[in-house]
Amino acid sequence: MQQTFRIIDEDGIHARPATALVNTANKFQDTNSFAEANGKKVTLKSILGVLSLGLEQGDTLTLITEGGNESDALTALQEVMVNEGLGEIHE
Amino acid sequence: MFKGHFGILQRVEKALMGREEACLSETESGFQAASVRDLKNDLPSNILAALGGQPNIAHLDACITRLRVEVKDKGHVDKGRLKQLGASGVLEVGNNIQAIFGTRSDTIKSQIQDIMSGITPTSPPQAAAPEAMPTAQEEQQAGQNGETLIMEEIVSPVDGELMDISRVPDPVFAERMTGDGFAVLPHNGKIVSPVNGTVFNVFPSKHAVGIMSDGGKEVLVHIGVNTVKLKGQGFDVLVQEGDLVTTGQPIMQVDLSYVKENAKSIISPVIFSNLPEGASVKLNKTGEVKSGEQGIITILKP
Repeated sequence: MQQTFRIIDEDGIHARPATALVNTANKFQDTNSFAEANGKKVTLKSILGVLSLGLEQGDTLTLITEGGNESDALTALQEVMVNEGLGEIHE
Repeated sequence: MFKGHFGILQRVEKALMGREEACLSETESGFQAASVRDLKNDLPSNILAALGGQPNIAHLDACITRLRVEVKDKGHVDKGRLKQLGASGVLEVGNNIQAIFGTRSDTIKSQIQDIMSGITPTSPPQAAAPEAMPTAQEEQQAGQNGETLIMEEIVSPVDGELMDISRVPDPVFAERMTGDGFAVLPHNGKIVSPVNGTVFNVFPSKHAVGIMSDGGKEVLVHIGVNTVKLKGQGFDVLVQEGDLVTTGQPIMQVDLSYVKENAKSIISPVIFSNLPEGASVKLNKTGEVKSGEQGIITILKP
């Protein structure tokens, strides 16, 4: 399952929000989670990986969950994006 | 040893058994020197040849994960061949070559020294031949996956004050949410790499650099707190993604007075974001440290 977001945080995705996303993804042990942006796809298990996407305000980011509790995982990640003011759903 | 390290242990055991069998058959067929090896296929001989041979070696050394050689003519060094032989990366600075062979680098150095002294190289009895040990890539992958903890050099990235990570005025770092680590208060704007590794990413706002160490550790060097807000002003990054870096090598130059004026704090966390579950960082001292100073912290195994 996947959902695409537009980054609205003026600081892009830096250490704080990246940590929140990775820690949330890791709560869902049975689910593989990925972040894809600018043609690059990284695992959501690695903070350095997420940060290496170099996301800035206005960029689009797709969060992908596969297997296990993929639906709950995606919902949780979506909540992080919205609650942290990181991004909004991009249609 | 380490959880999940069985594959590597099995290979080491096999290599040791193989050598014992070879010794037995040699003594059966009459008296022979303890380890007559086919030097043509030996890793250390081949590495020496790729470095341009004995006449090209000015000085030979090693750190934990890298063979470090000063050569007389770098034109005689075959970097491609070194990589074929197992170097995961080769860094060239003038006539100084660093080849990343992983933790077997020191054994390889000793064996090359033996060859250059005309001694038939032997491995210490309890160790395996370097050919049977994990490659630098395998070690780094195992480290990255949290399967193992490679003990490698970690040095102070600044002249300044070393302190506990809990002193960083940002809970994301202070509460170790991003991982365990340490903090420094820089006294000047020169920031150097705390590890031997590869630059993984440079933040767009230039206030932080992510480095993948030779041993597979993700190291985040983050200058100040909330410094993303400065949008790059006051930061000059000296490396780019993919660059091989060495402990003590300058990676960033910071306009410290500008950052002090415009950011919440210049206390800077250095975080290891992928340590194995249960591993932790212990400070070996606090207070004054010099850029490049060794032994400042110990990473404790789970």
